[in-house]
Amino acid sequence: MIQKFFSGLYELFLGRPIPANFTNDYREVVFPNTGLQLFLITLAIVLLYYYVLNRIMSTGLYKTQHWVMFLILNAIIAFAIPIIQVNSNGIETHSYTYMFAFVNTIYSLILFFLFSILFKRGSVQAWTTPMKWPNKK
Amino acid sequence: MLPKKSVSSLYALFLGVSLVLSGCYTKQNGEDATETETATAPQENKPEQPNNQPEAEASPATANVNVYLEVSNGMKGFMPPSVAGKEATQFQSKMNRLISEVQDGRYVDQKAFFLAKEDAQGRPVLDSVSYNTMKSYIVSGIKDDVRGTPLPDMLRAALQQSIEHDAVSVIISDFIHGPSDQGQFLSLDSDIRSALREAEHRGLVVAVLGDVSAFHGTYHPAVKKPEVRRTLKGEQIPFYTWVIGKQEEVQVVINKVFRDLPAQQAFFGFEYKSIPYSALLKTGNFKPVGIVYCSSRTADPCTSVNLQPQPKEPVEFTVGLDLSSLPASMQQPKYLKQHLQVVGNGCRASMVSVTAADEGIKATPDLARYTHFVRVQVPQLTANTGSVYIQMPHVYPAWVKNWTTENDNNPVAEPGRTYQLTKIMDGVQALYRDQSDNIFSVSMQFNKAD
Repeated sequence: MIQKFFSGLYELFLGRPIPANFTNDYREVVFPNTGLQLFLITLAIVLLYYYVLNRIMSTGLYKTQHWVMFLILNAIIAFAIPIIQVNSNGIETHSYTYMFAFVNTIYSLILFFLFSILFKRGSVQAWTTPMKWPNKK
Repeated sequence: MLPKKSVSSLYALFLGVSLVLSGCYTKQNGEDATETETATAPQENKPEQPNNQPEAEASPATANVNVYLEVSNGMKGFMPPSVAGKEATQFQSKMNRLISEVQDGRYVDQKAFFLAKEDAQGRPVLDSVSYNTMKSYIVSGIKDDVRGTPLPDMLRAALQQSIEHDAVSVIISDFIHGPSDQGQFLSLDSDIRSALREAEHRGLVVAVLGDVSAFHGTYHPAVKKPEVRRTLKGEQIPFYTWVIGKQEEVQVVINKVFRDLPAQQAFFGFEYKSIPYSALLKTGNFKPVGIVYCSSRTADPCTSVNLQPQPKEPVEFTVGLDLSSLPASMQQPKYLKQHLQVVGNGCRASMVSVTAADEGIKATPDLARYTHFVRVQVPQLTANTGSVYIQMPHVYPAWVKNWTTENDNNPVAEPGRTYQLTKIMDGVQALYRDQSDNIFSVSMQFNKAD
């Protein structure tokens, strides 16, 4: 299920894995691993930003530019994950690998934004970062 | 209000930390999950696994051997009495090496030597002799006066005896059939067939090795006109070594006991049911082309692939085969190129090339277990699932045609030929005609890639 979901998610933009002989490695290992790591790491960074840095510790990193910093940090991690995954599974590196890393980076931006919308209301200092919507106060 | 809020924030923090921590294990979890899922895939292949075990492990290292040497007058020319300064004939040196290997080689367990003759009534007689006696016959010549041996009867008797001894028969003769009744020539093939019926019945196989040797002495042709006998001085006359027994044991005798085999070989009834093979899709040496991947990520060997040829990009991949158990002549890339067939069921398939393992491949651990590599091309699928078969059909040995003659009366004019050899071979082939069509066949299942 999870394999199908993540394979579909990535192959939607990337097409079938290249080189084709590693199709199973991509579908059964690399795509699900990358997808799950993307999900959890993004969630962790969002929670760190809103609840640790801007609620428990009150570090003053509540401005949009700070939020963007974390967004970019997450994006860099999201770019690195696929390359690490591909290399650690003994898969031949191909331009497909970097396209995959790029698509994963785009997904990380979207996911980071969605998680921010979802969790920012619980933050004390950063509940309006990056913008006030949809919270009303 | 405040404490409650801080409690809920603590919960949120705890949730966050636990999620981050679990994030650290993601890869592990992901792999575990995929592994448990793929673990079921090899199980599907399990019934095939025993099939894929190398045959060599099960095959015996030694064999019992019974050597039968025909000692009729027609054989005397191969074994002329040794004279100082005269070179031994090829027959003498080859047979000497052979029986010495049988007597003292480590691959022969129990051995027995027999001289094949006939009695006054024309019935075959197999005289059990010692190694030294047979050796003296070979090096010093045949002293007895034996008119001949009816070929089918001799084969039948030798076979029967070897079956009782549970031994491999090694029958050495010129295979010139000389019946008193000329009508028997007509039924030579069916007579040979019925003589060896027991062999087929018991699942034994027949290997025939053809060789030539200089012949010094009286030659008795099968066709008695115009000459009943001729005196030859070193002309090349064929002689044959027939090896009959269980396939694995015949294999031991041919490969380990007979060191240098002649080029003329014929194999009847041989079949290899468990040739180890695998599609090689991830090795650097044999890169596949097009959309093809192993159906199971972890299957080793990989016997099922997913593929999808594109109109402009046919699928091409390599299958590794371990053909080391086959007779050496069949392992020659030239022979394989000529006789190996790639047949598709549910697809069009063809063979691009076949290569033997070179030094570089032998040094690669994953590839070292395969001796040959067949490149398969699949340009088009006609069904969503099917198989690609790589098979070697039984082939009638081509050399027989060049070694046979309808009139062997004058071996000087037409050297190196045996009277009606094709008929003799036809008889043996007829014996195994209804068995499998292939010496071996491996099947690579495929599914259309999604």
